[in-house]
Amino acid sequence: MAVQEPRGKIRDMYTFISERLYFNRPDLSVQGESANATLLLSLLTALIGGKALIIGEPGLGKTTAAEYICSLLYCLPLGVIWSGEVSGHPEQTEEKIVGRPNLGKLNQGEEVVVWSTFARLPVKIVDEINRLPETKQSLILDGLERGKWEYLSQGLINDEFCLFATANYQDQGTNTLVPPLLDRFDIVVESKHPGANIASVIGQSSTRENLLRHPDSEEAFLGALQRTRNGRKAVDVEPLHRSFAKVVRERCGVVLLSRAERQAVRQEIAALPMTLEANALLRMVLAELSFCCKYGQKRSSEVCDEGCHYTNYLCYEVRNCASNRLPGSVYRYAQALAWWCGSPHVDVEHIRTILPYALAHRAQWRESYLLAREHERRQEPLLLHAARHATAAVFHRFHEQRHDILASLGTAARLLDGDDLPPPQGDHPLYSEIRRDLGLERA
Amino acid sequence: MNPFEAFRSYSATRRELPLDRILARRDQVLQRLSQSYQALIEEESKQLIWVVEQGALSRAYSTAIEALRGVDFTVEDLEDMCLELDTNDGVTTPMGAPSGLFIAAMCNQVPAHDIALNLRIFRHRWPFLGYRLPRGRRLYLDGDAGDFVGALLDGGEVVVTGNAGNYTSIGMKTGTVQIGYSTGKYTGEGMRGGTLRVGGRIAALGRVKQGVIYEGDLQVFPTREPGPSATLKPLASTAQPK
Amino acid sequence: MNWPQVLADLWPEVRRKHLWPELPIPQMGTIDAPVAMQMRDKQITLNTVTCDELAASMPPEAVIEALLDHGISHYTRCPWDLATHLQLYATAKAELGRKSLARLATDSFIDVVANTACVKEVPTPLPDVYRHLGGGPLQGALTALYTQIWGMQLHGSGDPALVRRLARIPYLDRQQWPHSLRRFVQLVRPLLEEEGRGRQPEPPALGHHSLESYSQAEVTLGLQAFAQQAQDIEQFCDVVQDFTRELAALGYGKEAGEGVGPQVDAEALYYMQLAQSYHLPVRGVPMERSGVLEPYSHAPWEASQPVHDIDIWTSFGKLLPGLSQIWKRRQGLVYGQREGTPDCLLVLDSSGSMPNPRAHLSEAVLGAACAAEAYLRHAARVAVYNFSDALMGGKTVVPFSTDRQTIYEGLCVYHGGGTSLRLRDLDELRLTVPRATPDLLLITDMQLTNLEDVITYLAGLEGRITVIHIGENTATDRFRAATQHHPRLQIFTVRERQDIPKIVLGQVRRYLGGLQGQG
Repeated sequence: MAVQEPRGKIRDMYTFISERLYFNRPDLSVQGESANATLLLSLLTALIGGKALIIGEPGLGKTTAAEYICSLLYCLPLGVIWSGEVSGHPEQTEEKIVGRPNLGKLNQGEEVVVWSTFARLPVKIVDEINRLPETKQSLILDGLERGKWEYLSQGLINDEFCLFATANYQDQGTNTLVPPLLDRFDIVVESKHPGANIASVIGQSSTRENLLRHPDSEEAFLGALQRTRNGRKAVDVEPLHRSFAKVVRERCGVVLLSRAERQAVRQEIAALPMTLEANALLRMVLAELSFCCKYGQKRSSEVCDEGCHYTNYLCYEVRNCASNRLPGSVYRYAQALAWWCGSPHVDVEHIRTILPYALAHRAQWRESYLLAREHERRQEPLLLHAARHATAAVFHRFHEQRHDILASLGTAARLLDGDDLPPPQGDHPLYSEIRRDLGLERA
Repeated sequence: MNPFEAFRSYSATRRELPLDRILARRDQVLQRLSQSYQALIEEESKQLIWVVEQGALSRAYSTAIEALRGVDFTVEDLEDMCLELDTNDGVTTPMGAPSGLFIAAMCNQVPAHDIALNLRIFRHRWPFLGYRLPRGRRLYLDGDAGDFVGALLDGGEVVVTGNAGNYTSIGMKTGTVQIGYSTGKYTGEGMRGGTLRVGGRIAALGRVKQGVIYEGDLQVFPTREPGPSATLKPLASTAQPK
Repeated sequence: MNWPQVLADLWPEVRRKHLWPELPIPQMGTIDAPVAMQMRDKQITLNTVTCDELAASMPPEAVIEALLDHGISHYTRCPWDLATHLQLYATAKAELGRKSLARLATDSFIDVVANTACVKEVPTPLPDVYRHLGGGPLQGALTALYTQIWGMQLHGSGDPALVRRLARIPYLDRQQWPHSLRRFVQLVRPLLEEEGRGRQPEPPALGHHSLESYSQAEVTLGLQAFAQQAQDIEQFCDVVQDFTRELAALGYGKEAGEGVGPQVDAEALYYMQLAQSYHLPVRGVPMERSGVLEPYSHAPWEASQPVHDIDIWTSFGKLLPGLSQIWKRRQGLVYGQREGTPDCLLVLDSSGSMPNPRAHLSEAVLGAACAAEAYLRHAARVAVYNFSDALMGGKTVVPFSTDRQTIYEGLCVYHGGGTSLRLRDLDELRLTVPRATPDLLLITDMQLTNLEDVITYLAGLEGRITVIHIGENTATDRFRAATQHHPRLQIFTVRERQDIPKIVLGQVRRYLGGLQGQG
């Protein structure tokens, strides 16, 4: 039997989840292919080790989508995934999330940490993160910044990890996800209602979970995790992964990836280059989200004046400055999307597809901009719609000016090397940024 | 660290069209014409009050000619410059009489024998159009003209399809001026030769010295006794040149 | 010829060439008009008949690719958006005066821009289409123009002097489009008039550009932007009336009688669009502190802190700094009481001393429109009492309703007579409200013949009252003196009419409780 290449395996996983586990309607189109945004982007999150915030009404499969994806991609039985989940409620403590002292050893005067399943597993799922107090939200996101957990002066490093956090819309029992925490998520997606017809099918099929449950494997995994708690040497869990993968293959016909294959895929994704157009588009977006002609850069505490020359750009509509995490998120997910499509490079379409999801939770829009979007016809929450509208507007401008912008960036490269060329001129904020980088304008 | 490194190898894939060259040349010529115009205005602005009299006209016209020396422009450039002067929101700041003289200078210098200006599209009514138009040139003005049309005409042909203002053909030496409808006061003032034909009414004649003036089919200067064989010379065609 | 297959094969490459525009896959079809393609709500349809004709002279793939390039170029480059399209049309109409010629001129100009942008930026067989396309004198001149500005021999037939002048227009500079279009129209005017002599001119061969090309959302945004950009209400209304059929089909029309074609109240639409740019947020259900401290989260215990808050269970029974956990307490949040939004009675003076809103921009009507929008967004109802000499019948009454069209039509009525309020009418209107007492907003120049009666009436009214009067006179002094102790009456004097919308919004904002955005 021919060995299936990793992309094919991932696509099979997508199809399997879509048809058997997480019923959905496609709401995304890229390179002529339709897909469900939640499912596809969550799959890519798990693949590249990103951080996704899944929002939606209660009971629409926010958590289950993440569970299924992680179970298949990381070869973990569903029961093990469940054991490692953190539920959002105010009484969560660091000891329940990260780790606790080994009480027996503690009584003997030794500080030995028993790491939680959440900390040990590469898969981190936080259910209803906005019900956690801010300190605990921060704890989790700080830990995931580098995949390193600390407790009682001891540390645990995750070689690979991904985060799925779910959140309902704000209601009486929820806290706010403050902007610094929101910024740490790479993307936000909405788990939508699949429609009456598909929903009725969900109601009639109750055995979906059993496909990815295997009590024997679960017991073995949890036992292996227990072993390390008791201070014994860690067991090589790779055979357990292979065993579960075999069960899934026989039961569902889906071939799973090994850890080595996952790493290879990540390297392949990370090596995908970006076209010059895609690069320029990204710079154009960043310029519009960070530039301020009067105050040097956007700041949440400073309001743009009426009648500013750049009123028609996003810098007028947005209140805060784009963080440096935004381009990283966009680029990584665009690479993953390009890999998914089988494209040899990251193109404009990939950037444009990912942008709204990476921007929606980060941009703080002017009230008037949101109010103008509020009553427009849409298929997604207001913030996603606003981000999509903004992306479309920037892309429209990029389409018109791309040749001039590319030429200007090329000229800037040569100018920095000392060539004697006239500096780029243009109206878009990016030109101003270019001139600043060339030292022609004071920042 | 060069943040633009990735773009160093970029080479434009956009085609350069003849349109780009046409527009580049046009902008270049318009810029030079604007500079010439600015030079004229700066010179004439030194006069506290700009008075229409022979010496001032002659001086301003000479300044305009001098400013236009070395500028290679076409009839189309001339038309665009008129539009630029009319727009009033560019670098140019129209000053009535000097603007008219500048346009007249352009008409006299442009390498073309037939010049047509659609006056209907302009907001301004520039005076002195056709000033010193030399022999061998025809200036066709479609619409209503301002004052001093055909002033000091020097052998050329000026055709105005609409009305003209005051002082039409003032000081004309030789040549032909045809006005489709009416003229204002001081028509033919100081005229020394040539032919002025007015299709409609002449509000008032000026002190005409020589030449011939027609009001409709009637010759009004020099006045003729009505005779049995009074010559009625029909008005020449006011058709636009091709 | 299997055109759908050719189309399906070419579409991905054409999309890639144009950087993946967000358009659905085009389709083949039969179009009634003699045009090559049409676009409805972003859906491009290519005319099979035209494709067959062109295929006699060109390879089929080239035909499809050229037409798609043309259609996509219109979507991405020109006319850019609806507001720009309407602005261009208004410019052409100002020059030509005739709707049909203005449309033809605008469509032709848009074609030149889109085609030239396409030829410049991507490899395209579009020039070949023009080489084989027929058409009248106007099309001939444009083909000759393409020959000149693209540098390709396309066998056009136009006056060389005209073509030389047309070639000097900066078609690709979007900032100069209005100026360029004006010049374009001035030059091709004789050809346009020839096309339109005694008949309805034919649309451009590759299709004309109507409002149907745009999506609903684009039309909404475009109308708002155009209302802001229009020189005056007259220009807006003139343009809107010319697109009555399309706008009515998009839901902007009003009910007309039997046998009467679709109608759009252009003036009402103008104020409706202008008022959209004055936004007030919708107030959510307020949250309040419960006043009771509840355990909220854990924090590590420090030696200097009291021990009574230590959570024994979470601390594993140990009293050690850094290991033991104490409870942090905070007040809980509970839902507050949401006040219902009262209805609003707009009383608008349209006497002879006030500007006619259908002829000029009336800030009084705009202010009233802003208030109406704010209340309607809060799910309240609005009534309109538009008066001049109401005692003699000069009044328009719109009962409380949420029908925007009716409300705006009521606001835009201009009576232009004397100034007197029939107070009984106000009472009758107020009595129709089953809910809480409505807010009252009165905009007037206070030159009321029955001012004393009005003062007495307002003094005895329940509910919140805002009076905006324009200018100062003895009547306003008298009014202010008489009502200065009224607890719920606010008076604003406006010297500049432009201040009316801001004052109205400020007051309405205060009434409706300020902003609380959605979660």
